[in-house]
Amino acid sequence: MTAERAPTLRRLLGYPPLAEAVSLTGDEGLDRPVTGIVLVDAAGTGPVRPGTIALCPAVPAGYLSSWRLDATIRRLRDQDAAALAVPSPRPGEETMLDGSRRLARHLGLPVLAVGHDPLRWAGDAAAFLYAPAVAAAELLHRAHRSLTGAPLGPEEVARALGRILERPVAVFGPDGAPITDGFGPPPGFDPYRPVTQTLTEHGGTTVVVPVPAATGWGVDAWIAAALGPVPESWARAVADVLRAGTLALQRWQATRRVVLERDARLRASLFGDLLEGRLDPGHPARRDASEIGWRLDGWHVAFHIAALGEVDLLRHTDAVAAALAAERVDATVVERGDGWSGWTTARAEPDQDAGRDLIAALRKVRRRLASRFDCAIGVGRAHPDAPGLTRSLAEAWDASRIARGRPQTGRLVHIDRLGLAQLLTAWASSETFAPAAARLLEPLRSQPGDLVATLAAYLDAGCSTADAAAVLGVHRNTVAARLRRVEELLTVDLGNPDDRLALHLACRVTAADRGGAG
Amino acid sequence: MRFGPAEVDDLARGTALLGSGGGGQTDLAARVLRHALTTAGPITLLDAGDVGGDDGYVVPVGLVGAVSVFYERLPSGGEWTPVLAAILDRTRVAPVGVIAIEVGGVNGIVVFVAAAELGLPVIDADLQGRALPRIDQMSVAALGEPITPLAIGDASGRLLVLDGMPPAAAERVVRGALSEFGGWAAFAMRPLRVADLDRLTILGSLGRALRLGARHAAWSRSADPHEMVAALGGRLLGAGRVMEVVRHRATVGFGRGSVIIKVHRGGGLLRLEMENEYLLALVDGRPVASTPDILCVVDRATGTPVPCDTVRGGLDVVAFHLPGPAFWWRPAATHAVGPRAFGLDIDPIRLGPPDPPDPPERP
Repeated sequence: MTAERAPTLRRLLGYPPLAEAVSLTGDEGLDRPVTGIVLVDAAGTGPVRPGTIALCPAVPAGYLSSWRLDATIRRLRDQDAAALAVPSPRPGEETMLDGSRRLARHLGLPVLAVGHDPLRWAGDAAAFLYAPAVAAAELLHRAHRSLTGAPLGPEEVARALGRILERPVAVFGPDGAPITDGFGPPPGFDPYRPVTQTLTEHGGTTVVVPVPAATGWGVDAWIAAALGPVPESWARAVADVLRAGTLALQRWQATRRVVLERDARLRASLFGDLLEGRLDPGHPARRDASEIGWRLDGWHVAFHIAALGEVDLLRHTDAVAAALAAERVDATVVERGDGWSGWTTARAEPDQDAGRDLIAALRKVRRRLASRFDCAIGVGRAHPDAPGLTRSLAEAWDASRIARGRPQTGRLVHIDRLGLAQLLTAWASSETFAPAAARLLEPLRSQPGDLVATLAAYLDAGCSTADAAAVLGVHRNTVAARLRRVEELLTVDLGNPDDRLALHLACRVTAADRGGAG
Repeated sequence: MRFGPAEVDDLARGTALLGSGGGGQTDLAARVLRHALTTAGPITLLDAGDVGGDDGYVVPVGLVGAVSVFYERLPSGGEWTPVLAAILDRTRVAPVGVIAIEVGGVNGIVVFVAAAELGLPVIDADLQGRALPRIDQMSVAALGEPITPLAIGDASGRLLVLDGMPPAAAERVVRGALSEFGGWAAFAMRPLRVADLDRLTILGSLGRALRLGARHAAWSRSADPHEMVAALGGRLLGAGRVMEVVRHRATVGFGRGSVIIKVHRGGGLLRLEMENEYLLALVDGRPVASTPDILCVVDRATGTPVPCDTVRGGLDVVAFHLPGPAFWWRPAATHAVGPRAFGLDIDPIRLGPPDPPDPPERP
């Protein structure tokens, strides 16, 4: 073990048990290292080792304003002491004269008022200076006692640790966003380095320790303590205490996960019943559904949040629920294979405004979740009662499939806007149709002029060359000329509705392929 | 020597310096003395060796009490005749002269006022060699000899005679009685044999005051304080501005307090502890000079001594040390006037001869 660097007086006074002490002589001389503490008497002339705090546990009346204090300051300075410590003057008692303060500053020997129990202060200081490991162990002991009872949530862990450390403690999310009250991450904090980070700014130290994810890699959360100026050894002791807190948080998360898994299994089985339309009134599962708070009567609007990429769903269920709650979406949510399905329920059929509000809220939910994972959201139409819910859920799931390939709509698709025809498109992008569509349009690909895009724009524009020209930004005659070449190359007649339907579907499917649809 | 009006100014300056900040301001007493000299004519000031005849007696005279009241109620003439008569009545001696009880401050001048009134010569000696606040701090008392019989009185006939009392008790009685005399009273005490003056008194202290005053008259506002202080035979403690004056009213003693001077050169701090007189000097917390030596504070511009009771923040001052009377450095005597006699828990600090002056200060 390397030799410990002695803490400066300023940092030593940041150690909470010693924080009662205040300098009576301002800011000067506080940056000297302190190596020890020794008791002296008010008139004492005994030797004091360099770097030690000379503490005078009792002083005669009037001492602070007497010449004796000046003489003591001088003597201690000549012996290279770190500071003189005296009991704090009580209200109404004489305190130091301006001249003595000036003398202390002039000589660079701070005078500390250490409260009304100077011997306890001296004891704490001695324990910390001579046996910092013991002080740290005492902290760990207290942390152990307060964290090993009932499982504590993040707020409670932060509060418990804050009480032990006598400094603010906060819990951050994996990205560093605060999830408890208190303070945010300090400048320089890097949420992508899953190690203990001790950050110092303006002399104040903040210690941040990672809470490792249950999956074994990555970070589930961070616990941080804002300590102010403190000795380095104390910051290390605090890191140990915070690590004890990470165990408590992991335990809480594991417990929570068990509860979630149990709920999830029940919900998954009920959800299966729901999707297969078995939750009619009178079905035994219906009672289970109402017991866990599912609302099956009334008008339902379902949505499906499909996570994109490899995502541990259970780990994020709370976050999804929190994001929905934050956007005031009062929904029932169920984990489901690739994501979460949910629905909102109203007594009457929702009007258009309600639909718009829901979609706007879901867009914000998607943005809230963006720091954790990317997702596509589909929204179904409003249908009444349990059969209607089954239907809306199916629509939402289909819509989410389409939304995956549509970054231009913010990966959020609502069946009402989409029209059933596009569902057909979704169906058409099946593996049997897609290669056929690609082959159908193949002859256009090798030709100059973007014939596929022109054809798609023409069909999308309701067979209007003028509108297609405006969308493409070319002249109407150019569009017409391209269309004639399309008819020649493919030997089709754009006046024939069957040809138009086939070509329109083919355009959609190939466009979706190129858009990266899954 | 013949002591006439021409000598009053030097005497007033010198006695003020020897007051070590106490003893009362001498300017008004000097005017009283000038007035007395115009009516009584010059006074004879004799060295103890010139008195002739060791068997003669001298009577210590002066005033006791609050010198601030002396300012408000001047002697009306005739104060010392009754107290001298009371002493002579009890002791049956014929005095050959008077000596001062205290050279520092008002009493260094009052002895001449009394001599003019009594028609006696003044012998160049006193019982303190400086100013001290209590009558049990007179040299006679410090050596364990009696100071009684003593008498205090005024011109209106009020008279208190004490006899057979130890000095400390006499001090308490006199202090308690002074209010009945209007704050101060004329004082005379047990006559001393001329042969004993060398042992019991500080010889030549009035001459020292006169010489000191004559040199002090040359004080100039532009000269280097170090040189001026050296010319007075003193040692500079510091020249600077008074930063803080604290008077500790709660504690024992009278006029306890501290004066803190921010020294112009070097930014150090000079702290003077006082109790009627300046008693202890600390430079940056280090004790450098103390009673029984004499500590003087004078106005930097005019050289006028600044007494303890009027020193205030903001004054630009020069503080310096003058060697105290050798009498008080006798082992048998130091205890009576050393710092511990004033509750300052420190051994007396005796400074050697002054250092050669530093290069001139550039303010």
